[in-house]
Formats: sequence, C-alpha cells, structure tokens
Amino acid sequence: MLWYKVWRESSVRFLISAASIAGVCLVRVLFEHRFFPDVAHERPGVHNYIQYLYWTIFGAGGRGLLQLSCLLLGLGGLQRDRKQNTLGFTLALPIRRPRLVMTRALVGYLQVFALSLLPPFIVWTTSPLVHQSMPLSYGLNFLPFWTIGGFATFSITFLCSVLFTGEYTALAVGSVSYFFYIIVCQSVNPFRLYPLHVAEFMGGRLGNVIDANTLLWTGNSSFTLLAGFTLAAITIIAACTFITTRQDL
Amino acid sequence: MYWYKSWCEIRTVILLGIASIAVACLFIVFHQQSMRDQASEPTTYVALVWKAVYDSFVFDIFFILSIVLGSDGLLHEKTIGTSGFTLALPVSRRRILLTRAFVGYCAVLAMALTPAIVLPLCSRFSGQHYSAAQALGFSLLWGCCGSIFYAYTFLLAHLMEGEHSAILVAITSLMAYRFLMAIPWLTHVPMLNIFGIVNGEDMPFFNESTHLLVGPMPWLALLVVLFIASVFVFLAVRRMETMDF
Repeated sequence: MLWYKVWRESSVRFLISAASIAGVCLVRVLFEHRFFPDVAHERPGVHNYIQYLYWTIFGAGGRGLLQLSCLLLGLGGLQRDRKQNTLGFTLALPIRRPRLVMTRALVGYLQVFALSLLPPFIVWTTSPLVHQSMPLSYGLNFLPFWTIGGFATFSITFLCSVLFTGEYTALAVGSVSYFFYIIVCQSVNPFRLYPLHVAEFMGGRLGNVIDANTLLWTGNSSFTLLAGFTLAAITIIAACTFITTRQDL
Repeated sequence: MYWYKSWCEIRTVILLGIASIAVACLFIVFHQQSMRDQASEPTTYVALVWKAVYDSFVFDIFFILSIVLGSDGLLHEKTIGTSGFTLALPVSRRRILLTRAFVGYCAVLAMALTPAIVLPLCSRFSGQHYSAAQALGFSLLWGCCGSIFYAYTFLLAHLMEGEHSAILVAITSLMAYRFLMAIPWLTHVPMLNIFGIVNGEDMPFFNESTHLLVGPMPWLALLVVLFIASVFVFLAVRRMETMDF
C-alpha cells in the first residue's frame, strides 16, 4: 500500500523523465546523419557510431537528463507533505518514520533503475533503422554506473527535501549544491585527485573503465568505484532516515 | 501588499540564487590559476571566465534557477491547497499573475547582474582584470534571454498541474529546441538560437578568439526575446482567467 502511495506521488515526474530520456535517445539515433558532423566537429575524437553515441547519450546529453530526473525524483521527504498539509495523513498511517523514508528511497531507486534501462534498449532496437548497430552489451554495461550514480544524485535532493521546508527551496539547494560539488571535484586539487565526480563515474571515465580514445569498455574492474558510490548513497539515505526520525514535524 | 506576498514566496530561491552565483564566480576567480593549469590548451583569464561563468557552470546555475523560479504559480497553489487564500484577496487573477511574473523576472535580473558586480571587483584581488563593460554586456544578454527561460516555465506551470512537471517539460523542450538549432538550414539564422545569444557563441557580436563582446549588441533580437517572454506571461494570465477553480 505504501509503495503504491509513493508511486502515485512520483509517477508524473517519473513518466515525464522516461519520455524525455526516450525522446533524446530517439532523436539522437534517428537523426544521427544530421548530428554526427556537429558532434565530430566539437569532439575531435569522434570517428564512429559508438563514439557518437557515447558523447550524445551515454556519456553526455542522455546522462545529464537522467541526473536531472534523479534530482527531481529525489524530492520526496516528509517536509514536502508538511508543505502540502498532508503530513497528518501520512504520519497517521500505522507505519514508523524510517519505513516511510526507506520506502520512498527504494521506490526512487527502482525508478532510477528503470530510467537507466531505457537508453540501452532504445538505442539497440532503433539503430538498425538508420543502418547502424550498437551491441546491447555496450549499453547494458552502463547500467550499474547509471543506476548507482543516479541513486547518489537522487540522494542529494532527497536529503535537501528532508532538511528544507520549501518545495522549491529543496530543489534549488539540491541543484546548486550538485553544481558546486561538480565544480569542486573538477577544479580543487585535493578532491580532483580522488574519483569523486559522479558524472564522470556514470560515463565510465573514472578508473579507466572506458578507454578514453576508443570509448569502448576496457574490462577494468570497477567494483571499488561502484561500492564507493553505493556506500555514499546509502549513507545519505541513512542520514535522511535518522533526521526524519528526530524531526519535530 | 501582493508584491510583498510574491517576494515572501520566492525570496529563499532568489537569495540562494544570487548567493550561489556570487560564490561560484568568486570560486572561479580565486581558483583561476589552477583551473587554467588544468586546461588542455593555454587559456587566458578572459577565456576562462567566459568558459566557466558564461558558458558552463555559472550559466547552468542561472538557467536551472530561472526555471525553478518560473515553476511556481496559481496551479501549484491549487495542488497544495492554498489557492483559495490567494484568490480570496480582493485582487484580480490578472494582477496576481502579473505581479508574480514581474517579481520573478526581477529575481532573474538580479541573478543576471550578480556576475557583473562580482567579476570586475574580485578580479583585482587575484591580480587580474575583467572589464565591467564586458560583464555588463553579458548580464544584459542573460537578463533578456533569462526572461524566456523564466516566462516559458511560467506558462508551462499554468498549463500542467503535475508536481515539478513544468520544470521537467521546460528543460526537455529547451533541450529539443537546442537540438533543432543544430539543423544546418537553421544555423544560417544564428539569432534564432537563444543559447547562442545568451553567451555570444557563434554570434557576430562575439569574438571567439578573444572571448570578448566586440560588435554592437543584438538589440532587435533582444527586444524580440522580451516580447516573446511577455506573450508567454500573457498566455498564462489568459489561461488562469478562464479556469474554473
């Protein structure tokens, strides 16, 4: 029942996100002949279809849209219910607060997983229409990176929506802190030396998981990276649970 | 009175926007040397400011916050159940929406002006120089183009009720618009590309090698942009006037 409640609350955002990601993938594949020259001009290393797909979907535009969707899907803390005057109904359910938070987080995680599944299958099925091909395994290899990176992104706004009352404040603080996190990971030396950049992680560019020139999978183990980002996301969700339990709502 | 109500509703986002843009600019100015050292090719200070402030990080913050600001409205109030209080005020719907749109647009302008104040002032402290005229020129572009991002989301927020749907649809459709602008026969009319006007990329008034605004500003294009933004707000007003709630 609680799962259904959480699904109903976030279904519009999820469906619009899915439609947007699917739309971007379709446009990039079906109009490949029009976009390829521009992409090759902007990125001198782009010579073939896989490299084009990487810089338009898996490592750039599509990935960015997934992250934005994760930021929006993360807005699900109890403060939101408080703002909408529905908190009484939610807290009146015979369920403890940690379970409420965990259910929201789990539904969010499943939604991120579902969104991450879209690009590999859409690209794989539509590529033959433009006389191109992408091995399904190439796209599916991104699945753990997109799911875990997306969940880490999701947890940032989830934490904001637990901390801040204003609905738009949570989104604004979440997206601004995300941008600052990216700037710091890219530019400040102590942080730059560690694999902390979630966008690069999602694109497989941390730890040489993807070859920088061919943009093909190298076969290098990515277990430590995946475990690190999973741990970060779980820690943030645990903090959200702890804060919500103690909050005087 | 209604001005104050609108201000109270969005002041956190406005103040957060101004503060975050200022902090991002300060960060870039004071880390300029390390950022330039990491660049793949030799980069001047002016080029770094253009890339980091007007083309990527800070512009991204401005873009997202303009859209977040535009996504609040009467339909959202209806969803959260406070529209009854707002509509009970002895003010017409038209005035409510126009006031809100104006206050929101002033916030977009304030955010657009922030780099023009921070960059020239703080560049001196890091031993660099950034012309105030250049910064003001880019702020003008941001202020006018930001009106479209804001007004377009404002219109969407009065067309669809789903929570945060306006934000998602706005960003996705603006991405689609950006893709469209890459179609060769549309690239012949650069002024159609608002993402080019906003930072000067591929525009006749911007020098790609010095990263400076050189020619006369595209006044006609900016006026058209402001006009389109006004039309979006007007359409949102018309929609709310005819809705039954």
